[in-house]
Amino acid sequence: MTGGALAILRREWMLTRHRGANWAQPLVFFAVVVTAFVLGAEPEAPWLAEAAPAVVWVALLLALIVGSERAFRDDARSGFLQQLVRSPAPLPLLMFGKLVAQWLFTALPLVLVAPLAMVALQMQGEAVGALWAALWVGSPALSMVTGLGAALTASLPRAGLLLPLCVLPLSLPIVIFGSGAARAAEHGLSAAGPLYLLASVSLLCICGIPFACAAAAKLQPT
Amino acid sequence: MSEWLAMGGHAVFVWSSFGLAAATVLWNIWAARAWMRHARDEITEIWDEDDGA
Amino acid sequence: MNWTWFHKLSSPPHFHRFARRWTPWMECAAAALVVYGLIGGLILAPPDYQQGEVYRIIYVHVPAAWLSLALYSGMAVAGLIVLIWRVKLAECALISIAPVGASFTALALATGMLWGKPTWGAYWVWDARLTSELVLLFLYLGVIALHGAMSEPRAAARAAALLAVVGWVNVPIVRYSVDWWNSLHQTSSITLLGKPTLDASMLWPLFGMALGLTLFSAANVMRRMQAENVRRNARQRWVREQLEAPHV
Repeated sequence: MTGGALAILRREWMLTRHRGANWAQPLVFFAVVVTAFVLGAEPEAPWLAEAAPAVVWVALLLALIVGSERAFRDDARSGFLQQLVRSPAPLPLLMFGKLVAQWLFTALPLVLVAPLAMVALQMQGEAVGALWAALWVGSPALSMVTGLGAALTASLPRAGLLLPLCVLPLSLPIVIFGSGAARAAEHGLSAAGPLYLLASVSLLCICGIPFACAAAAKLQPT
Repeated sequence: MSEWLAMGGHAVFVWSSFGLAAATVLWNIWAARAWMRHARDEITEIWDEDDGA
Repeated sequence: MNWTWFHKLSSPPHFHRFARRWTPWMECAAAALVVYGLIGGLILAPPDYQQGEVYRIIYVHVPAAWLSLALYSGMAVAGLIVLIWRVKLAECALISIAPVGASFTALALATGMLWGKPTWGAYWVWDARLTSELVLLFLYLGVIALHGAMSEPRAAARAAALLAVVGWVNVPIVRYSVDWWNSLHQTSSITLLGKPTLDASMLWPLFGMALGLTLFSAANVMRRMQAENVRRNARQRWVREQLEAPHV
């Protein structure tokens, strides 16, 4: 039963390998957003460390939106999505495979790079650990929400305005709890509360979004 | 009367709120009519096409 | 209790007749209620001891905020019907409710800001309710934009329905997360809706306005549904009969 999802995972891995440096696009985008923010502020700005959690989460959200733009579009155009819809394997499971692949090859590199950005934003001590934990816990939800946005807009020539407009309302709770965890740690409070809330939002996304993506995949004109 | 219009010094806020409400209602009425006009044009076009063909 | 009248409603010709017959009456009732609400709210109701006259914005802000949520729930239910039972009329309902809901959400936001200025000195306060209204507006715009972007009408309605339902699940989550976020730092200013204590003479006009605007938007949605319904069934026989009948 899960063979289908693993097959999709393998396919995505080969595709990203053959696409060359394209997988690095979200990473570069993430670095640009963080650097621009730091250079935008006056050097050694005192408030930079406090604003850092929000900057990291916003950069992650923007990088994921850029990264997921063509996740489903090439498949919809090449007809692969239509084949998936007709395959005997349960479609939500195939979509889950695709979304996990997207998390692995787009969101995970960003989460691994995030500590460098935190150092660049002069975050200290406790907050770095809490924010990294929040990124680990929250990034599945964020990448699934952007994946759903991509699935919904797959059949359109270019998603343009639509992807952010669909993704923004769904990603707000994740950003709120994510940066809330880091801020709580900065004030010395324990960051467990927001992290648990973030984990619950992530689990809700992991359980629900594949079904929504399956319904979105069925929409594509054959 | 003018004291009532002044709304305790906050006339601008109160009356612009009610103005915006009226604008919203009127826009909705106009939009519903526009949808109907648009639908009617489309249909008569389709009917002419069918009758003509 | 036979439900036939309800099932008949989902058949396009029957709905067209039902809507054409009832919308004028609904609009008259709505107008009467709104006039009563305005007279009661603006003239008869005494000024609030705390906020003075400016609290009268409540007669527009609260109905608009309530409508934005009620219309979204209606849209999400229509979305569910579209996704599960593929009822064509539910697609018309979904498409018709979205712009009406968006307009009232924008009104709720604008009046919220106009009310915020005199009471807290700031147009925009990141209060949980105002922020949730803003997110609701983005959801409405997302549904409208998504539906507008797709060419094939049936797929467009299903995509919009999907976003409406997913958004519906999201609204309480956003509301809770903003409440949690808001409680972290105790805002010094009093809370947004300082819940002016309303006695009867203030309360009844508020119900009048809320019911009136609800009836109005219901009638407006039904008028838009008529147009959408007729447009989608252009080649059906009943459309020719109904539209060429002298009554229209």
